[in-house]
Amino acid sequence: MSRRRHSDDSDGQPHKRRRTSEPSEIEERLESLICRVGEKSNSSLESNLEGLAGVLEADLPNYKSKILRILCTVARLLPEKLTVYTTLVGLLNARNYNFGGEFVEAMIRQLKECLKVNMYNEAVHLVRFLSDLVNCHVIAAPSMVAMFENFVSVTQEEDVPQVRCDWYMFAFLSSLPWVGKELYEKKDAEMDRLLSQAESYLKRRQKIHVPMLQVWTADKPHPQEEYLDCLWSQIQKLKKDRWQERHILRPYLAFDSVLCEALQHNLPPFTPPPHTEDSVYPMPRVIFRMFDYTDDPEGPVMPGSHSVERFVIEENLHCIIKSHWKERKTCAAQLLSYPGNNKIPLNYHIVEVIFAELFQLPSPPHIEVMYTTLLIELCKLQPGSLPQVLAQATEMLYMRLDTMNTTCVDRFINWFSHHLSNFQFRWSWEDWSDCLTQDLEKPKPKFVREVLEKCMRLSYHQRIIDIVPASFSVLSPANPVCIYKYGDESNRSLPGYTVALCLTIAIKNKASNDEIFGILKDVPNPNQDDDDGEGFTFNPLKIEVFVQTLLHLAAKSFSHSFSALAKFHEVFKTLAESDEGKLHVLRVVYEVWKNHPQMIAVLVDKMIRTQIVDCAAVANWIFSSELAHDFTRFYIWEILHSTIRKMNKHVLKIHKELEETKARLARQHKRRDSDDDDDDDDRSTDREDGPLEEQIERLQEKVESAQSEQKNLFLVIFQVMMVKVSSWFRLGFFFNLMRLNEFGFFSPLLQRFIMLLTEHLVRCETGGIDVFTPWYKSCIERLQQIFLQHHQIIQQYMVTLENLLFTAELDHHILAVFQQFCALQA
Amino acid sequence: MSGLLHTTLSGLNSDSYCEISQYRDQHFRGSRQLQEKSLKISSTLYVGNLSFYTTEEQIQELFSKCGDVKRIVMGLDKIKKTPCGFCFVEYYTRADAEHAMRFINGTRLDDRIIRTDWDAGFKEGRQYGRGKTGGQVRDEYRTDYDVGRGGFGKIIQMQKANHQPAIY
Repeated sequence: MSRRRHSDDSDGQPHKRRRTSEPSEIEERLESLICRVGEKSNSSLESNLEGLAGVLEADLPNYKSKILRILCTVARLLPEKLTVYTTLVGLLNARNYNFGGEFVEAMIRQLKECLKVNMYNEAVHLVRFLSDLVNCHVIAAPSMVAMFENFVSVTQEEDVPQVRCDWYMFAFLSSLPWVGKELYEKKDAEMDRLLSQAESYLKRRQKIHVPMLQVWTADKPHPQEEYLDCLWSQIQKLKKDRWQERHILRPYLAFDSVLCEALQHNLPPFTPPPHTEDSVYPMPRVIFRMFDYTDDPEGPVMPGSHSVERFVIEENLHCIIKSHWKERKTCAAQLLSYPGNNKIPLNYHIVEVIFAELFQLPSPPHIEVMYTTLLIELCKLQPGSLPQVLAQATEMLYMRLDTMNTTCVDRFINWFSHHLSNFQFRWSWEDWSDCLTQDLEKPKPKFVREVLEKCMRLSYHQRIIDIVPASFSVLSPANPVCIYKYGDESNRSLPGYTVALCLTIAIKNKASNDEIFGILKDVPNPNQDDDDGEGFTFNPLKIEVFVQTLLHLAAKSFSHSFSALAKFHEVFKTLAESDEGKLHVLRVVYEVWKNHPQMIAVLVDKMIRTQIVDCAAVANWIFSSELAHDFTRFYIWEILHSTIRKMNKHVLKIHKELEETKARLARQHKRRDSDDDDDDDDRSTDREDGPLEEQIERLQEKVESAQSEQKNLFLVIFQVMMVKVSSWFRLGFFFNLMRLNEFGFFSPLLQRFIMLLTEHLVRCETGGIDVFTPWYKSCIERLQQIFLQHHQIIQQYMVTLENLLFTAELDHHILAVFQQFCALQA
Repeated sequence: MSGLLHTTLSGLNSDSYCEISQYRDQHFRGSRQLQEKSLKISSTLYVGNLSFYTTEEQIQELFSKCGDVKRIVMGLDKIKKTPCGFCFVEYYTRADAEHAMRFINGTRLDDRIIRTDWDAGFKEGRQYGRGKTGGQVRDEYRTDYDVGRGGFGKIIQMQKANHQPAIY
C-alpha cells in the first residue's frame, strides 16, 4: 500500500492522502445504502428493505457501531421516512436479537442527549420512532406504555413551565397515530387512564398565548386552533374510529410473519430529565388551516381538520421542507412525490403547509425568500395544476385580509409582490376592484397599495402604471422623485435659500468639509436663545439647508447618496451631535424623499452604520407626529425592525469580542502555568496580562454601554407605543403618563405629542368614534410582533419592563399583550 | 458511542446552490490558492445577465430579501461608463450571500433570469466590462437579439453595419 504524499498542485487544493483505506469508503456506501433505500428502484420498497437487511446483517461483525450510528441518525433526521427505517430495524432485530437490543439502548442514549441540549423537535422524532418499533416487534408494548406513563406524569410536576409539560404531552399524543392501535390492544386500561389524564391536563392548561399566535382573529371559515387542542381532537376521533389509521405507509405489515417471530426488548425505565434553568422548551404553536374539502371539489377529498391523516400529512410535509430547504429542486420534487398523492389533494396540502410556515408567528422556520422560490419551483414542476391552487390561495388570503394579523399581511405582501415579479406581474387586478370603494386605511386597499409599491421597487414606476387598470391609480405608488425645497426660483424667499445656492455651487466644485462649515456659519439660528455663539449647537435651519442640498445633488442613485454621506461625514456628525440634531436630520431626509420610501430606508441604515444618527433617534423619529400619517405603512416598520436588528447584532458582536478576549487571556494564563522553567517573576506576568486585561475592561464597558443603548431602544419603543395605544382609553391614561414622567422618560418632543394625542382623544370621545379601527388593530399587532420577534433579548430586560411600564393599572389591552408574551415561555 | 448528535447525513448536507463554479477570474491578482480561499470565505456575489436598464434600486430590493446588503457596485461599460448588464452585491455576512445563491440565483429580475456566482471580492477596476468594445465579453460574441442588452452582439452589429447597402 503506497502512501504517496502529494504536494500542493497548481490548483492549490490540498489532497487527501491517497491510501486504499476501505473503511471510510465502505462507511459512505453504508450511509448511502441506508439513506436511499427504496429510491429510484424498479423493485418494491419491501424487497429493497429485505435486501438491505441482508447486506447490513452481513456487515454487522465489522461495522456494527457505524451501522448503529447511521440508523440512530436517520431516526433523528429523516422522520418523514420513519416507518421505512423502523421496518429495517425490525428485520435486523429478527435476524440478530442483540443488535436490536443495542439499537434500542443507543436510541435511549440519544434521546437523553437531545433532551439535555434542548433539541426537543428532534427528540419527538426519536420518541415516535421508538413507538413505531412496537409495531415492528422490536419493543414490547407494555414497556412503551410505561414510558408514556412517565411522560404524562410530568404534567403533575409542580413549579415547572407549562411548556415543559406541553412537550411531554405532545410527544405522547403525537406518537399515537403510529402506535395507538397496538398499545390499546395490549394495554387498554392503562391507555384509557393516560388519555383521561391527558384530557384533564389539556382542560386545565392556560392558553392566553393563543391570540398572539393566530394568523386570523376570526374563527370562520377555519378556526386557528392551539396545536395541542387540535391534536387532542384528532386523537379522540382516532379513538372513536377504533384506532383505524389508513394513511401511514407501513412496510412492516408485509413482513408480519417474519417480525412476529422476533423477540422483543423492553425499554429501560425512562425518567424524564428534571427541569433546569437552562432548559428551553419549544414555543406553543397554532395550527394554520386555509383549505378544506370544499376547496377542491373535483379532486380527492381533503382529510378533515380533526382527522389524524391531516396531522400525519402535515407533519411529514413539514419534515420534508426541514430536510431539504437548501435544495429547492430536491425539496419541490420530494414534496410532490409524497406517497398517496392520488388519494389526497397533495397540491393543496403542500400550499397550505408552505403558507403555514410563511405565516408562522413569531417567525417562519426558514428565511422568507426560500418559500417564494420553492413555490416557483413547484409551479415549474406542476405547471398544469399548482399555479391554479396558488391563485386560489391568493384570492382566499385577500378575501380574509380584514382579520389577518398585520405581520402576516406584511409577509403576504412581500411574497405576492416577489412572486408576481417572476411572472411579468400578471394578475387579474380587476377582480379586486371592491377595494377601491373602501377607505384607504382598510386592510384590502392598504394591501393592494403596499403590493404595488413593492412591485414598483422590483421594477419601475411606469411599469406599475401599465399593469394595473386605470381605476387603480388611486392605489398606485407615487413617482419616487426627490423634493427639493430650494429648487424653485419661487422659493427664494425661504430662509436659507441663498446659502443653499452657495452650497450647491461649492459642492459641485468639490468643496472640503471645512469650506462647507464656513458657508454654513452664516445660517442664522431660529432657536436664538440656544445659540452659545460657537455655532455648533442645534440649528435646525443649518441642518435643513445642508441636508436638503446635499441629498438633492446626490439624488441620482443610492451610490451617489452614499458617497455624499461619506464625503461629508464630518459635517453630518457635527450638525447631528445633539439628540435634537439627529432627529432633525431624519426629518429632513423624510421631507426630501417621502416619495421614495426605499431611499429613506437605505439612508437611515447608512446613517446608523456611520453613526450619524443612533437607533434611539430613529425610534423617536418613527413615532414623531410628522410621521403619524405614515405610521401604519409597511416601510416604517421595515425600518424599525431593521434598526432593532442592527442594534441586536451590534450588542452580540461586542459580546463576542469580549468573550474571545477573555478566552485569549485564559489561554495565556494556561500557557504560563504549564511552563515550568519560567522564573516566577510577578512583574513580567503582569506586563503580559496588562494589555489584554485593559482590552477586556474596555470591551466590558463597551458591552455595558451597548446593552444600555439596546435596553433604551426597547424602552423608547414600548413607552411610545403604549402612549399611542392607551391614548384611546381614558382609564389609566393620565395615571400612566404621570408615572412614566416620574422616571424622566418623556423627551420634550414626546410631551408635545402627548398634548396632541390628548386633544385627539377628547375629539374621539365627543365624536363617539369607535376605538377598534384598523389603525388600532395594526398598532396592537405591531407591538405584539416586536415582543415576539425579539423575545429572547427582551427577556433580559423583563424586570425593568415589568416594574416601570407594565403594571396592573395599565390599559388592559396592552397588559394582555404583555401577559400573552410572558405566557409563551411560562 | 458518544456524540451521537454530532453525526449528520451527507445527503442532508447537500447545498449544491452554494458550490463554487468553474469560472475563475483570469485577472485575479494573487496565487491560485489565495483565489480559492477568497472564494470560499467571500460574501460578495457576481450577478450576471442583468438588463442594461436594471437599476441599483431594483438590485437592492431583490437582494435585501436575503440579508442586509453592504454594497452594490454596478458593472459599467469601460468606454461609455453606463451599466452593461452585471454587478457585484456584497453582504455583511457570508451566510446572507449563501441565501442569495440558494434563492435568488436562477430567478427573475426585470423579467430576466439572473445568475449569481461567488466573487473573490470587489477591487477597483473590476466594475468595467472586459469586452473589446467596452461591454462584457459575452456581448461581443453572442448571436441572439436581446433587447435588454443592446440588441445583437457587438460583432454581429458590426457585420451588419459593414453589409449596409450603399444608398445610391
